[in-house]
Amino acid sequence: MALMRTCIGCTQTDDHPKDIVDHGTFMVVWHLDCHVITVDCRSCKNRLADAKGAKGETLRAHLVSLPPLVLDEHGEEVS
Amino acid sequence: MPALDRAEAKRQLDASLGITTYVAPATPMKVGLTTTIGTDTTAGTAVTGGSYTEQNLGAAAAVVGSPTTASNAATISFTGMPDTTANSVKAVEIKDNAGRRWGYGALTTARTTASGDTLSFAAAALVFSQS
Repeated sequence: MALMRTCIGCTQTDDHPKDIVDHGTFMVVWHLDCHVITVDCRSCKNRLADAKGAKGETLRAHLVSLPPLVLDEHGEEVS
Repeated sequence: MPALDRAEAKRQLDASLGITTYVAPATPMKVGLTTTIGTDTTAGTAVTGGSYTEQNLGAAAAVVGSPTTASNAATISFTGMPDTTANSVKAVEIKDNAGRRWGYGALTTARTTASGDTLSFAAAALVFSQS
């Protein structure tokens, strides 16, 4: 069953890939593109760099095809 | 959270009491996600699948207080998470870059991810304390 979550940025509820941000005592959920638009999230920007505007299952397929990355605090790959 | 691994606790006690010299960890320190909560002798079950991989911890220097605490200085993002609806993410494991275990800690609330999600911990979301 699809995992439905509501993006805090656009308030839309769907099963698209999200960035789940744990703040310790609470969490917020973002669409990756909403997270970039709203707060310039660098890791989401990194993930979407070659996604060509894909959404939903197409975006999911793209994201899981990417190689494992260790990211620094700027969302850049650690060499 | 977290609790020290038993071997790390001995290393720290022996060093702080002047018995032995503390062998510093191999940096950078790493943080991993687990679907079970570890113990002071055994690591939890690591998340596998997707393009999940351990990330650098990037802890800030400790702040003296009651208790004295340290935390992650910047957001830590685990990208390309697998589907964890059957086994949610319940804890983190901390180790050094050579795999020497430092400790573990349960999340305040278990987190569930869909395939392709990113699971992030905001700065100061992971807090380590000693009193």
